[in-house]
Amino acid sequence: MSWNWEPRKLFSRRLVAPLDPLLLILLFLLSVFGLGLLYSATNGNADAVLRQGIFTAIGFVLMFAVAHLPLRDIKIMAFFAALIGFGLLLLTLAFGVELNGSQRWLPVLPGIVLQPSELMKTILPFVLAVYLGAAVAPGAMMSVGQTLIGSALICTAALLVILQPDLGTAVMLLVSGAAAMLLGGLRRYWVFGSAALVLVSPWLIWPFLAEYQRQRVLTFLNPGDDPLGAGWNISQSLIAIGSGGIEGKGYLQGTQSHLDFVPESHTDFIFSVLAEEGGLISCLVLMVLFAAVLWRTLALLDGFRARAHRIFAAAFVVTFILQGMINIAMACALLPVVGLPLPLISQGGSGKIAALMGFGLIMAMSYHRHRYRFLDNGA
Amino acid sequence: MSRFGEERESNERFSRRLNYVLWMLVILTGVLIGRLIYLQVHAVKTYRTLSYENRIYTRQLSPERGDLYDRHGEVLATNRLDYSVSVVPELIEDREALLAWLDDVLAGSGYEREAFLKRLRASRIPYSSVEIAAGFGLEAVARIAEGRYRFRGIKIGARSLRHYPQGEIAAHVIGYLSTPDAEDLRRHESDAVLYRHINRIGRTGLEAQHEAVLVGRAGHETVEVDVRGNAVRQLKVQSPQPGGDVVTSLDLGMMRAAHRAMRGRRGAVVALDVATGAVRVLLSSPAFDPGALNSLNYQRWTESRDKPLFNRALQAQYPPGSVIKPVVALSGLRQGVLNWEDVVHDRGVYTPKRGNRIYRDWQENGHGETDLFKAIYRSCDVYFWSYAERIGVESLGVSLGEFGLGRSLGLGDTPGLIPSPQWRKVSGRAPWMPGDLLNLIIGQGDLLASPLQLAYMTAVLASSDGQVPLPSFEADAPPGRAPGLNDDGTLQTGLDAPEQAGVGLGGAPGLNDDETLQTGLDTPEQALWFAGYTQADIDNVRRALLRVTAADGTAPRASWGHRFAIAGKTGTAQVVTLPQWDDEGNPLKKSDVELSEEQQDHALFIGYAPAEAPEVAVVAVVENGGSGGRVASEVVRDVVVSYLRAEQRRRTRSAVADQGDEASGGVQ
Repeated sequence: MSWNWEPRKLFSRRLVAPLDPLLLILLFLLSVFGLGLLYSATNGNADAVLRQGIFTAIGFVLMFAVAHLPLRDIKIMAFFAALIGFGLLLLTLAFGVELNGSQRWLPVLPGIVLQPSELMKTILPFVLAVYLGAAVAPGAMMSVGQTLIGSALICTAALLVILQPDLGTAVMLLVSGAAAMLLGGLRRYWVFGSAALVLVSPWLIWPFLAEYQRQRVLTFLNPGDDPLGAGWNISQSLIAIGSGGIEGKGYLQGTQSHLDFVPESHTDFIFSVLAEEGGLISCLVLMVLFAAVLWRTLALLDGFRARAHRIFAAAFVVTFILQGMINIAMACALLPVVGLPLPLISQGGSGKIAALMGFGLIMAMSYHRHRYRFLDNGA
Repeated sequence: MSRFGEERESNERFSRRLNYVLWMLVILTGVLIGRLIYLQVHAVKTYRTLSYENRIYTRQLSPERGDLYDRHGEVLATNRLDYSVSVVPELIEDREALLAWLDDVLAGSGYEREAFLKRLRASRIPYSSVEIAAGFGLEAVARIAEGRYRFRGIKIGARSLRHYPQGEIAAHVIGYLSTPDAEDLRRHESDAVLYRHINRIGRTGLEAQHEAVLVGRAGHETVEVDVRGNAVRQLKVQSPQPGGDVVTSLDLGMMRAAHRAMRGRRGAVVALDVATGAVRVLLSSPAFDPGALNSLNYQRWTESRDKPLFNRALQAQYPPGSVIKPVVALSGLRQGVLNWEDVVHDRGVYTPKRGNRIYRDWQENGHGETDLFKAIYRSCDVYFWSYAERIGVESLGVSLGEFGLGRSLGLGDTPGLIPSPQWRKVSGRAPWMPGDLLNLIIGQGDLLASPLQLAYMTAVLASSDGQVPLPSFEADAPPGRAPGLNDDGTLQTGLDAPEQAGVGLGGAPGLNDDETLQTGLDTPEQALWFAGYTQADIDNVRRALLRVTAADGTAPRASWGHRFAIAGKTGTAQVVTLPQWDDEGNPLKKSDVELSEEQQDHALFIGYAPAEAPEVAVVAVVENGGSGGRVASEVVRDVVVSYLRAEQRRRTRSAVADQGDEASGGVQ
């Protein structure tokens, strides 16, 4: 009898080849970092950590799968991605589960809900990148028609999310869409025009905000008005961060979060827990990890030939980093609290899976970078 | 090749724009890091303090106030737990179910749904408790504890409330607690924190007198709290030291008898132990219910005509009337002005040599042939008037002072007043007239004494050697020490001066000096006051006082219904001065004048028993109780009898117990 089993075949070079080891390690480190922080933020709730761990595992499996996509029919992929993304958002508005006054979740299995707006953060730049890569001629700028089509896609997605309502995610969708358009060849006057629009946007968004969201914005503008009411969250978060000092109070030793002074410490304010227990050093470590993800993605992107790939990778990773920075800025009272998770760290399955799938797509693009050199030129 | 050129141009634009975006990110990162450095390095101290204050909470632990007991160990004042139940509004899940449950378990225990809902709406601070109801019994607490698992955020609290199980029987003497004012806090400066926390201090009576013992020492604990204020962990604790219990000299059995006998009439009863000066009864009537003391009732009681908050036993001053006649007799005897043989013929009227006033005896037709003995037990005014000028105001004042009148006895009592010509002059009143002496000698006019002073006077009269320690609430000396030990007693009064008043028959020390204005006394004469009284005179006076309660005395009722020998003296305090003459110029008799209830004379009686070896001295004042002190003598009788019967039972019991001991000893 011949012993025919060979491990190398199971884990063959072809199977792991699309994965970028450096990016994989960085994402893995961030995920582990997040799980450890979540354990502290939930007061040692092992169930919550296990649940998040399962989501993380699913996310990595899906990233693995996505990294193996051949990308030959990228337009069809984008078409179906758009169909799924917008479809799920519409379904959410129709059948979503309401919690805390907003309807963001779609029940898929008993006990498991999906947050389509999080998936949209990956889908929207992908769809736009493919569209722009295909439609805009090399060296040309976007035409008025192309600009309007792109804007329509962005605004539709943002509107569907605002109606839930979920201001934070809608803003992130606008940011990711804007990044894709900017890199895809948006004409300069459009750039400045939309920048001006952003400046007046608060007055445009205001009527769509729920009462609690308006309250949050007002609290940010006048934090002293109601220190025991709506201003409570932000002042307790500041105390948590400030009292952490350089070295922090030690893992699981944060009094602010463990005695429930910091609200939403497992989602929007998880950074406060890190800052309190790990101090400035841990905050910088986290930022370095994020910066490394950005750096590695940009390094990969440098080798891409297809414009759609470049646009997607850049728009996606910029949005990813920006969301992390906005989250930290909110915890530090630099921005009004609108409710945005810290990517890959905060509790929540959809966001985590969507982000990992996005990076999986970037890996696939990197793997096939030589094959799809001129893909965007109407192949 | 153009295709590659266009491609390159496209790539360059992409890179340029991406670079802009990346620079933006770099700037934002710089802002964030700057912010973090500001918060975590520059302002770290501020935020550390804030976070520490957030979670560390030091709270005072109130000491349990000590109990007050009477001499037999019956409780006068203690503490009762008052329960309250509250809820954290943020934790209410099913409001309707909660309200329904509360209606069910708190039915009939003072819970008001509307008031609770109002408090709930008014609640502003997140996660703070809102009181549902308070002040209900243990039964409702049990029902709440049983069902509260179904709801979140229900808290049961308990606090200690002062409780006076005897109600109004001992209300005045125990006193009450109230909120400390700025003056209290200044006086108890070292305990100001404690008093601010417990927010009550002994205001009057024994509660005030024994404040230092009863209050105890505060403790404190430092706890780590969560955002709801729940203690998560105790970091440091110093237990409070409960206040000490105080056993007093009061006798609740006698207090009850006195309260019953007064029947709510205005007046006062004071009983003292003859040997030790210990206060057995200190009762003012009508009394208030100390459990119902609140601002509303306080005002009602203050405005009441009966003045239930006024402690008549200490604060009221009455003209003592004839109850001072034994002292007047002793004063005259000491000077040799009076003796037991001389007889005065009394036809009911006394006419002084000067002036046109006539003085009427309380008995319109007079007492006939009257010697000193009869003058005491029949309370003959004319007899004493006849000797008034020879006894003289000075020596009379000295004697009254020696028996404890005219000065405060150290229990916060009013000093009263012994009038004198000097006092009249100093205080700028009308000059002293001969008629004033005639009033003074029968205890009327300006002479004023509190019930406590009269009780002390009685105790001195009844004591074996004339030495009675000043009245105090000190509990009886522990068994083994002879009762009435002088030096013990003096120390126990808590007064600075070791001296005390008393009839010194065997060389007692001199009296203290007091305010001359109020006593009308000159101090130098007091040094030798005791020399004059003889044992024979004292014994005769006591025999006369025993005769008072006989069938032909002025207070026969004091002997009704029991077989104890009670000696005593009646007295009448005039409320209004009657006109001497009617409109036509005819002399008026007392029975001719119509008096309203409040113009009726006050009835007084002093008594002691057992007459042969006095143990207890009692005084009763019944305001507007009528002339002659009959109603007061009944009150004194009831108090004395309750004491003597209780003593009898106690002696019988201990005798039986002794026999039992002997019997069991015999078996061995």
